[in-house]
Amino acid sequence: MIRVTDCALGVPRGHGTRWLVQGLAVDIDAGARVAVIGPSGAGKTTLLRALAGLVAPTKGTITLDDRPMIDWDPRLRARRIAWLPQRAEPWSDVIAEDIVALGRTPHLGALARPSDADRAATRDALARVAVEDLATRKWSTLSGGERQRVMIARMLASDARILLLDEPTSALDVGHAMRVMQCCDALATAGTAIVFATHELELARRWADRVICIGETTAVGPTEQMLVPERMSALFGVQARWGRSMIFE
Amino acid sequence: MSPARRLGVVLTIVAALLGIVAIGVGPGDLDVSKILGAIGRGLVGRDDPSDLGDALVWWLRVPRVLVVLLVGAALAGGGAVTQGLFRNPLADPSVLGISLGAAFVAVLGLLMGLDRAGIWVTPVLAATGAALALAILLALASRTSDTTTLLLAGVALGATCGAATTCVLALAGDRYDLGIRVMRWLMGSFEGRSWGHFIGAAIPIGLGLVLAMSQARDLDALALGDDVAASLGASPRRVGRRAVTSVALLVGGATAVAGVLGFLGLVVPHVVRWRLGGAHRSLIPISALGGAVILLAVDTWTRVATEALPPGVITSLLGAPAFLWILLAQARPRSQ
Repeated sequence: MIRVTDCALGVPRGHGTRWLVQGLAVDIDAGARVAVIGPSGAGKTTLLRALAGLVAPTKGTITLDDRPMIDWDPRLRARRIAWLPQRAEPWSDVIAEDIVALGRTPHLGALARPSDADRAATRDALARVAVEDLATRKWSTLSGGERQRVMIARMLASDARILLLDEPTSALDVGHAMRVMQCCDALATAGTAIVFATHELELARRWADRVICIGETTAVGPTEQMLVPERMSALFGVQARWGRSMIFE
Repeated sequence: MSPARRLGVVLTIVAALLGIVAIGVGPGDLDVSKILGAIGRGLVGRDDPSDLGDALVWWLRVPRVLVVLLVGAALAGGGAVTQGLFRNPLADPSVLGISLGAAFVAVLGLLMGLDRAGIWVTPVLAATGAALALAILLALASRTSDTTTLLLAGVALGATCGAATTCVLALAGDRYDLGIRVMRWLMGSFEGRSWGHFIGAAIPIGLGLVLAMSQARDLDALALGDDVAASLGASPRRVGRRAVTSVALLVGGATAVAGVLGFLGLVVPHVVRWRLGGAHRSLIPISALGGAVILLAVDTWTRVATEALPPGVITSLLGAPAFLWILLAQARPRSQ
């Protein structure tokens, strides 16, 4: 699926480059559950955008099924990878179901009408995140959490085998956050690769097999080896220790 | 039946009924049976040119009605695409100077006598003018996301194109007849439109509508931002190129045959979006139908009330307050 080799991601700063991610090497195979953590502005979103093929790595390579990401036809790539941005607002007042149906865009020709399978995928996605009752509502009438669930449903409707989620639960209450993560876990068990960026370490500890830490340095490893107080202290610049869960002081 | 389809059926029926009314309006004792009979004979090529009723219906009024429907559909459909492209409900071909860009290049061609090369020349020139104006605006839009800046740039572009058109007309002052013809055309008129005009407009407008519909889903994706569109396989650059081409064909084709008709592309998509939501698969065709019906109503009314006022003046008179209303509604924060 996705192979990241000696990848560096930077953004222009003055006459130079501010490096966000350096020397990252990671394979994201079927069924992977990968969390991306790090302080605000560290580069979590940039990494997910690079994994989605929206930005090319500054150094190194990112391949999808052994082909460089950049060589993929955008529509074929979009059938394999679905991306949930931190925030996306339609400029006009679109109906929720029409937003979810956008997940089928990569599967449809320019003038094609959605097939029964496309409609079924849209309905299934609405049901997975419990937003069927919002289907006919306009965007402006939805709360922040409802909007986030609609956007997650859009991503699920794509039937992509790789899901990239940028802070998927940031606007959700505990119950809906749990349902979304359970849904992702079930998809991972069925072979979908899940990569999610989060500020909630408990979410990473509970739902990820591997963790990518982005900070002064970039590191990747099994969750239990990465989420240790020493590394978290260095990453976030505060003292950390384990209690019933991890406690910051 | 979905709300969009229901509205589509209603608008189609209204367009057909209004079309018959529009054909019946004016000199000549034409009732519905005479009109339908003349259309039937015309369709199978058995119309009688010596019969006044047949001549009035098939050779004068049917082409005019069809041209009006086409132009209304083109301007409102083009407005829906323009708004989707700029992600702004105030983006309208007439407000942003696209129609005036089309008019300027077309007038330039008329005064140089290029239109004598064929009926296709003026639509091509108008489409080129519309595409150039759109390209300039898109370049500006890529530098700023500020609506006010974009609208002011559009107004400035429109003013420049209008001044350039006046300049060209002034320089050709000795050709009085041509100047009058161009001025009447610029005000937006359907006087004397024939089957030739209909065919000349139908080709670019038909192509433009098909191209617009082929971009409908990608424009929906673009509504969520460039990155989301790209992640769905809809390259913003490619969508932009195709949308510009479709608007150029629609606005160019409409302007070439009917002159500058303001605000139709602003108001109609705005109302349809309010009723049906912003999905372009229904927004574009329903706006096109709505635009066709409204323009036919305006044209029929001007024929009944006063031949002196061209429909372009009426659409501007009705559209300008609507523009202000949308502008003020935009300033109000949306409910969460």
